[in-house]
Amino acid sequence: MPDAQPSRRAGRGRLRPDAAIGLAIVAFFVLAAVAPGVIATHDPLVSLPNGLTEAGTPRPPGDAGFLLGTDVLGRDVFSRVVHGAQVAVLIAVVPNLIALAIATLVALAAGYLRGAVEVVLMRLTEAFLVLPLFLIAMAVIATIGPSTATIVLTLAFVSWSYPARVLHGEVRRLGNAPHVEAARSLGAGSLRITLRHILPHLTPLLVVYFSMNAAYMVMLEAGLAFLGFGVQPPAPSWGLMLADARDQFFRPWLIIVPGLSLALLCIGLSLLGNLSERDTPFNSRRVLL
Amino acid sequence: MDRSDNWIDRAVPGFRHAAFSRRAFLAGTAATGLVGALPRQSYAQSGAPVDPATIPGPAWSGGTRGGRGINIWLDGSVNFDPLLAFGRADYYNLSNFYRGLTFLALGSEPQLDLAEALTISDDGLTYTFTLRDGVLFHNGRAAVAEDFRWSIERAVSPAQASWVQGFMASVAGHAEFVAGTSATLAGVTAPDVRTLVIQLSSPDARLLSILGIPPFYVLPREEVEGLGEAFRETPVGTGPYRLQSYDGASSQIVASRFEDYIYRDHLPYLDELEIRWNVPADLQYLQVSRNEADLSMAIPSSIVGEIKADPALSARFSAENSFDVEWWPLNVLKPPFDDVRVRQAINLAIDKTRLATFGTNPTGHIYPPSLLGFDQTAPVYPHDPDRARALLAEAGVTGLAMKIGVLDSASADNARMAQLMVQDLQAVGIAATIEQRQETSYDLGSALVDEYDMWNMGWGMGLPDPSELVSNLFGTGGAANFGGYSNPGIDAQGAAAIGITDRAERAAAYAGIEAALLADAPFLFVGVGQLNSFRSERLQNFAYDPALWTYWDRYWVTDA
Amino acid sequence: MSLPVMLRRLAGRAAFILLTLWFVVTLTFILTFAVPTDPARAIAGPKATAVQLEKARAALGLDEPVPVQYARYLANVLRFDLGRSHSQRRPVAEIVLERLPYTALLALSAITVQLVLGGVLGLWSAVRAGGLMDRSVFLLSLVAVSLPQFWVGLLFLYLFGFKLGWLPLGGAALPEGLVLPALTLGLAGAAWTARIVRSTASEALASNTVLGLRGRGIAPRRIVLKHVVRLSAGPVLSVLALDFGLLLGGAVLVESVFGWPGIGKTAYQALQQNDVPLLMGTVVVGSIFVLLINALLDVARFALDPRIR
Repeated sequence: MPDAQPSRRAGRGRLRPDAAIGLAIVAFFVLAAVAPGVIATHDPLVSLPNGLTEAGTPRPPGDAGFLLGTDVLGRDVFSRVVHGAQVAVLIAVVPNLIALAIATLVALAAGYLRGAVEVVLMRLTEAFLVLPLFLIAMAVIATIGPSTATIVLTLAFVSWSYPARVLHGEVRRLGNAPHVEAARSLGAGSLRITLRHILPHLTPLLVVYFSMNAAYMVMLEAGLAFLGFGVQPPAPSWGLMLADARDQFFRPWLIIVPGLSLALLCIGLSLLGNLSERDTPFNSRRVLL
Repeated sequence: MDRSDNWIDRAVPGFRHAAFSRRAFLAGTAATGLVGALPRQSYAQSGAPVDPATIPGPAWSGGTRGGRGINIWLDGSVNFDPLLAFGRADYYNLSNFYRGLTFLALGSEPQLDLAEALTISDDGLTYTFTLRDGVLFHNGRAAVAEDFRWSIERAVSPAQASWVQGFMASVAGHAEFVAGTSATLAGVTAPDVRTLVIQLSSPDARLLSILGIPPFYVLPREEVEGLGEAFRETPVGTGPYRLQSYDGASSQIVASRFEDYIYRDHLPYLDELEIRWNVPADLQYLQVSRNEADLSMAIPSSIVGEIKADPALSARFSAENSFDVEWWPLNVLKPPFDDVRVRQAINLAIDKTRLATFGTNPTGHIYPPSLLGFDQTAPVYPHDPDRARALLAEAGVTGLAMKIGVLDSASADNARMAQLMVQDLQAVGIAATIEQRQETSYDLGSALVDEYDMWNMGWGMGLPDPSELVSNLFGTGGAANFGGYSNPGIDAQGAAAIGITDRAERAAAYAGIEAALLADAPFLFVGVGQLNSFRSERLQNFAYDPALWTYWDRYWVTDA
Repeated sequence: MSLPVMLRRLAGRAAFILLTLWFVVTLTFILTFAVPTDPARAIAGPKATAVQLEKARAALGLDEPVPVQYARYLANVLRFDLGRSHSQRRPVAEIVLERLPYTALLALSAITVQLVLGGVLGLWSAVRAGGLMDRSVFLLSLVAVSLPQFWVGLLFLYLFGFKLGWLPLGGAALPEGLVLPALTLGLAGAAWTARIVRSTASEALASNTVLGLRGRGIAPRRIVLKHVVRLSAGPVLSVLALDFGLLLGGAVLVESVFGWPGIGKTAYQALQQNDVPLLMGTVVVGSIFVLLINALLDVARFALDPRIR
């Protein structure tokens, strides 16, 4: 029975303090995404009547009651950052789920079908691990056009390979686990074994990868938005805000604030991923973008 | 730092080439062929001293000759073939390497340059140029009338099919030459080494301006043909600077004073001119503010406020009107934009003064301010949301939703302006959404009308004359008229205006065209792009004109 | 490992590289066809005449059936003919090869930052496990991997370039122009390297070999430098190999932030100018580059780590 699984160990006992901090950070951003109106002080889309100084420049943080200042169009930066959480959380969840679904499918198919299929699938996985995927993602989005659907699918397309490889290893390991051997000796078919005795045991790993991959997704999307592929203006997105701020050396808050939100969410997600860090190989896919 | 010590240059041979070693080789081979027939003149023989009063272009006086100037640009690539220079870093540097019969001074006014005299026949059809004596190409050969003839012919030849081909349409034999039925451009002849004759088939007031733009400057045929593809990175002309080194990998050209320049006793000031491209806009301000570079014409609009607020910086800054016309066409064939009242309402709804922050001078005109035909009193649209609402109601339009295409997202300012437009349109009851695309409007072309109700357009004028705008931007079937606007009255007025020889009369004709266009409102009138020019503390005597942009031959540096 | 086994491994590796490349090339072909805009228009330029457009269309052979075009595309790539860039009006292969050394130099510098900084911090934390240093390194590495690189780049540029004026504000000046991009690109890698080295080194320090060596009275400093470093090298190299593609992806952003003229910036420019052949050229050459480096690191790992044999 499943209690033989090492992956359950970490789940036992109390919440680790670092994971608690991560949870708090992530919870804050989820709240901002779900109910931005509760936190935001202004309409994020409107150039406010007193949003610019006499000289027509943005207001620095604290000036005229703008907590984090205003941007070049005279909009409230704090409110835009809060509303920007919506895009970030959406990106952290949707393409992530798709990527993990692909990864699970590939891992199970390889483990179930074995033989040539396994070789081909795993070589493909390896190719996706090695290739400069950000460059490829750029090319894909540039040619197909940056709609939300394209971005979500592209993010899934470039991020399924690492979990697939790890899950595949786990599937193979579980194939020799005592409870699977037992089921097999009782005459269970391999499809049944795959679905009933292996798939459920992948859950702890999937949870870990969901959290780690989420940070990767958020950074990837911000990077793409920074290059000009993201949600359409005037919708607030952190990557877009940063792209708009690259020539704003005189107004550092426009560079610092959205980047800090991005970093904070990613740190929160990483900490949350540490919840059961022992289950993941130490050289987990690092997040570079 | 010394770039010849560049690790990458040494590691990858062939990046950097000494422009003139190849040329020396070619000169040797060419002497036996075609070029051998051309008169050769040694360095020592070149011409009598030039009277400085006859040197065209903006004034200069004082200053010390010597030193190096550094000009930085945004462009990702350059091409110094005058017919293929489409960028800014290349096109607006052509006059440093090449010169022609005329030159465009301030106000884009054509003045004689390599020609010392001109006679125009009474019927306005025959232009006879007498060339200056002693004009040399950078390779040491004398530039003679045949070179001028050949260069003009090349610019309009069917083989080149260049963008300036149509500019010479009034020259006799142009149609036959372009169609390929004649091997030469019959209207341009070189009866002797110092005389060039241009024969027109109909009067054309634009000819001297046309000859003053870089694609019609004089080129040495043997170099152009001998260098082949390499000509694009090996400019050889008669201009004030000659190529010293071209380093494509570092995106940098160094040019040095041309010792045998026709005006060598007076110009250029600098010993060396360095041109760097591939410099991001956000870095250009910083480099110039720290005197690491001397001139940027691409200061991001978002920091202009801070520069103006600082007296030390603002003394080195100026916002210049460019010849980059900015307008946002409306989908005039699609209801309700086929109703002139709706188009006028959109023009009234948008507060153009707010757009001024974003690299635009929102004049509300289609003509740039210094252009012939620009009329200060033209009835441009004020910001009047009440009248806009009234016009919409009169047209029976309610709950209008429109989709705005923001093309070429390389410029953040387009999206910023669009976001302000969305807010203004909201105020008169129009719900507008934005779609940003990487492609330029020219990439999408006729597909634009299928997707958007309004989109941004820009046109960099090649010729300082309004005829180009009439035919391309809003004339029926014009190259940039993707909205499909057609007004037979304007077309006819435009065709007639080309032949008018009296300057004031021409100006009035073009002003009339703009007034008719304003009334018809086929687009959201915006204005012209503004070039935020920023200079180092060293650079002196800066002068600007929208046709040629810079006059590097007469800028100097204080620490020379 | 015997020679035949080695050869078979190499052959397998080569086959994998070729198949992966075929995949990339096919993808770029499909994408090139998915472009909604008229390539002839893009090539001929905004002010193109009708004649120029016609010439451009004919030159591209756009009228041929798709399989024919695909076959020609593959054949061209085999001859390293990647088409012509329409923004620069010259062969894509020429442009990309001109830019590649810059990216290679940047990647090499970033890897150096990653290995030196990460290695030193990782070893230090392992030796002083549980101490203040160990904990701060852990925390820093956690933060460092969570920072978006282009943002770090912008902050560096703001701080060291704009505010303090210590380093150039981008551009390709060597060596000073390389410092900030290399640091930016190497930072996250350094954090990971530190964690890996910390983990393998702790393991090694507790191993029987090391305990034995200590028992024989060999200086701890010598043990760490000779044995622990050697044992940590394998895992570090394997992650390095795996992450090289990520490094190149990061280079796209870092290069465009700093104006460093490598293939990443070229890709970004191609993107802005809708120069599809050039963009695809950077994808193909970037992939070849990554695959070759990967193979190379693979070989290095074999040579270094006796356990794999």
